[in-house]
Amino acid sequence: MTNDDLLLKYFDGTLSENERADFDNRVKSSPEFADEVRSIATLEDALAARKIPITDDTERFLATVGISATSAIPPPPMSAPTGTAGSSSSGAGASGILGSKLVMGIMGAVIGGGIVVGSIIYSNSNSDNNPQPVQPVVRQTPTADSSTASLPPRVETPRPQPQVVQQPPVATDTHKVEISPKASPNLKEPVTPPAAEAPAKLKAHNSSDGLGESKSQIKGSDNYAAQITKSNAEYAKAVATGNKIDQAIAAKQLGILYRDIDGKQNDARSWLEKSISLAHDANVAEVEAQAHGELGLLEKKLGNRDKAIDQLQKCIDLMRSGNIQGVEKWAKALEDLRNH
Amino acid sequence: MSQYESRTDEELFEQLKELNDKQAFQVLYSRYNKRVFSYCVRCCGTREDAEDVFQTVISNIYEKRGSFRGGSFIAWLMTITRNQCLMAKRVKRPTSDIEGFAELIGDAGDKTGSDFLMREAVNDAIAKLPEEFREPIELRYFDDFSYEQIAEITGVSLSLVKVRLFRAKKMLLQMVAPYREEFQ
Repeated sequence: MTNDDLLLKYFDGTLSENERADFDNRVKSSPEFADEVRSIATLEDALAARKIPITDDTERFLATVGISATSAIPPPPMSAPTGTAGSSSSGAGASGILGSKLVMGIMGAVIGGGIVVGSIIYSNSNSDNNPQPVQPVVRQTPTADSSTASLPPRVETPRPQPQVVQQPPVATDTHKVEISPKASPNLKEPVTPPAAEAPAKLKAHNSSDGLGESKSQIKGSDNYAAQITKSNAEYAKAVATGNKIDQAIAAKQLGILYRDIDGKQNDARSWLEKSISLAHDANVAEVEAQAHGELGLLEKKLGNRDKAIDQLQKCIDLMRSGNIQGVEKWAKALEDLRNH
Repeated sequence: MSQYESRTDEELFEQLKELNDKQAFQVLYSRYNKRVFSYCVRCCGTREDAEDVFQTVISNIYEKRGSFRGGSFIAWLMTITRNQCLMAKRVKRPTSDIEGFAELIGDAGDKTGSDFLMREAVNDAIAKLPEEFREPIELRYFDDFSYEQIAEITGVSLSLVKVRLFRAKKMLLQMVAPYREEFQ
């Protein structure tokens, strides 16, 4: 057994009797080994001492978020037996929703119930016997249908500029291109593409004279080739590192790119379905919802109205249930589809 | 309330999941809010981003309750947290800033003397560790997770967690070698 094997087991507390004897012998006979044991032990102590205290500001933030989140939980299901677990967890997102206006009322109830987190929200600056709760600053996230909103309002602490996470813009139909058959990658099944896959050779679609490519189309084609190469590389890297989130994002991007290339719509569908599956597995509703939406646009483009409506609806449902920003554009796309 | 506090995480989560039990949620929240927030700050690098991710995670406890398939509640929660942090990092690509984290959260420790130098050396070294080694160190020593929980959270085997932790400590020792005398 190597020194490292022994050290690992020693600090793990899993040395057998014989291994323990071996360990003790090595400590006695090898100053280097003894020094290593001491160093690791000291390092462990130093690491354990690195726990960092939480400030009052953080305590207040955590308390406010806790109260806000509690307020968003719907009341118990009417049919559920008390004291025993029911069999369904459905319906929670659609009822018992409390908006920000009721947060303070809930705070009172929480405090009255003696909940630990509730006590923290009182401002220490009040010197009288009637402490006032600190008013949380809430960010109202608009939803098309407030009855389906089930998440608490977001709590904001004062900041110069709130950070907003935004997804990259969606590729559009601006540039119609097609892939040269010889260079076209066979992506019937979304498989791990080689990281260094050559850029797809793209040709302008329906050029006006049938002979050449307009400058704007060439530029568009180059962009698509570069973006496909980039997304392929990102997908391959994500697969190599086992990062399902980045896999889902890259797959979605590939689906968007292929959607706009004539003859590659099946590949586009495969990538988007792959993205949905990956995002679902990784529990990332944002990406899953967007992939459903993009797939809906693909089905719309292919004339599959019912499938398009189904996918767009799934996108919207996911975004609303997750309180994800940007649902409006998908709702509009669905509305347009239904109206035409 | 005491009857709630004596319950396991999984029992409380079942109460929340099936009966929308707010008290169960509050007990779970009080048990883990600091750990989750600290993890968010460390991963995101800025307090602002950490707050956004934290709020999303807390919302997801209820919203994603259906995805809990048994096992350890805290491992499930930290997996959600980890995924949200990865999403945020994908957008902003911050580096893990342990030193900044200390200032953000409020490290009131002495900033002079050998203890400070040693802490700084350890902080710098941890920040330089590859992610697969830094993460188990942080989960183990900053967040008090067991080996088994770290394995569940990071999705690797128990034995690999132990090996990575050991190798991480060896790397840290190498990196802080110039400060070795401060340790001993």
